[in-house]
Amino acid sequence: MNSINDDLNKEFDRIKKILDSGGSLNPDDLKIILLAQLAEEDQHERQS
Amino acid sequence: MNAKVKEIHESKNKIHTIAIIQLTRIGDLIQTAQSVSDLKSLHPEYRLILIARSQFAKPLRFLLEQYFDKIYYLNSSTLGLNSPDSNLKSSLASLELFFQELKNESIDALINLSFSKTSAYLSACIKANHKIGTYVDANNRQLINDKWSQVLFSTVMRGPLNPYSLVDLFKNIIGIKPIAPKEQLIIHSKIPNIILHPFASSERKMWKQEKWVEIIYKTLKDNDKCTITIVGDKNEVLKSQLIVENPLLKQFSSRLVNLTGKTSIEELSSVVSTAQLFIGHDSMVGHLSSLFSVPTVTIALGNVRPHETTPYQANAIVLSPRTKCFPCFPSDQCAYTQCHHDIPYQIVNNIIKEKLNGGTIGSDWVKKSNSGFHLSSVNIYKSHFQNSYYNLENLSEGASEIHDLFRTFYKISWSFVVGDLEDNYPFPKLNQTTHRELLETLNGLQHLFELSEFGQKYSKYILEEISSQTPSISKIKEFSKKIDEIDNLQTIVLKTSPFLAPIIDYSKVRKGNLFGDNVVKLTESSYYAFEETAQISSVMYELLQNTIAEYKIIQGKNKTTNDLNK
Repeated sequence: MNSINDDLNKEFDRIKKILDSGGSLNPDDLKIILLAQLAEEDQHERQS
Repeated sequence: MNAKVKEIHESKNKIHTIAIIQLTRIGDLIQTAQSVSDLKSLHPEYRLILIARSQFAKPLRFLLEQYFDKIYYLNSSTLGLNSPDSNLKSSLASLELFFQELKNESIDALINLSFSKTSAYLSACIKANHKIGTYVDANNRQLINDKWSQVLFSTVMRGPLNPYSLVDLFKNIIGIKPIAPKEQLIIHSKIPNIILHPFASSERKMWKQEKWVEIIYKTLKDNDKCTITIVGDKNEVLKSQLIVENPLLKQFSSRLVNLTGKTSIEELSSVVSTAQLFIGHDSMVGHLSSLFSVPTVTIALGNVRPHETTPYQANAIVLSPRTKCFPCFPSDQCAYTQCHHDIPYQIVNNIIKEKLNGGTIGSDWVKKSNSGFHLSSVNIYKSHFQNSYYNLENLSEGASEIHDLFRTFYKISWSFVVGDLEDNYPFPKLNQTTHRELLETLNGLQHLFELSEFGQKYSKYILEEISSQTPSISKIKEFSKKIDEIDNLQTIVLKTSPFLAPIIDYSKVRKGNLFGDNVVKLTESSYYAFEETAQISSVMYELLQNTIAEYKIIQGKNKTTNDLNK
């Protein structure tokens, strides 16, 4: 697993905690999720 | 000049910018280009920008630049998504640069036509005066505010009941009334060339090579002046070799050209533009052909929904199997691919021959020129534009298929309720099975209508309670609970009347996107959502009832004639 995936996983846990506790996402959180989504799409594309 | 006058002056001279998000593949990008072409010709004063992924949009740049004033490319490599050395900090910095560039645009309307999670987050990150299509809010809720996007979200990829071409749905979402593309006069070359793209994005959407060998063999044997050019991507080279190197085709090697993996999309488009015919599966080459008015014959298999993605032009032919599970979902397990066996290659060959001879494919031709045995497992559709909307007409003889029936009913209903347009179609032919299924669905529609009436009633009670002098919280809670029960009962209707899925899904999407920031506005919005569901149910009920009545009249006449003949 590369470094960005490790970083994204950590951030994902942090963001999940915010949402579980009823908090709101800030613009940077949305950008992190966007990066995670793009990475996931790329991975899916490579596999298909 | 005082400030106010200056403001009005600036507003008059302001160039309005519309940004389209389309992150999906090349075929979707071509359909997006087709959907904005009317906007471009009707409103040349608008600045039109596209936000797309590099790997799909860059090869198509030569074409997209004809439709868009500026294209912003989201590039995975620049973002460091595929590099083992990158880290989140550097990727975020690269993403920030992308958004900085976009910040120079003053976007009036941001339209997301992708409907993926990724595009919803992207839409959330871009500043715009208005957002159309899906986007995410700070609470991570996916929102859709406009009705046509709600229709798309509730019907596309949810089953076989969406009646609209994606191009028409995109046009509706953008807000331009569809205009049928002009039919162009095609001057054929003396040596007819067929473009063949026997591949698709997944195995379940394409035939095995042997079946294409049969078609190529018969076509080249029967048409001694015709040539076939196989086209495809680099990763399809091996499959194309299995076709051209088949011993059966050795005698035709001078008339069989294999360009698979040898052309860029720009070069491919130049080859396609001079062809007499395109044959293949659902893929971007078919969409490219329609841009040049090259006639198309598409073989739809697996999870392809022909009504959504058949090349957008008149007289396009599409063959789809009558297999019960067609169209499936990409996640469905399938070991045997029965749908691949249900389209006989003989019919494809007959169509190619007729097309090369300049004949017209119509229901008479289908009946006269093909064996009833071969026709029994396949639907042959031909496209035309009705009320400027793309329509696929089933040329096969006999009673309409149940999905065709419901697609027609839905087209009339959505157009009337959401599009404010009256659409007319002749009464479809029923048989005993479809008659029974319509009768069963009538009950479901009645339940759905009644539930929507209850929904309106309880929404009204809440509004009355709130506006009373001493509003009772417990009463409001009680009425809200009733509304929740209605939502659950709608799900039960879905189980007994599966053909009503688009209405029930649409109702859920509408209710999940209520307008307002206080109880009164939200309840009012809930009232209108129930009212709309009641309206769609009522239009559908009337359509089904009239179709059944017409069937009974015909049955009655036939019975009388039979009695007189006795």
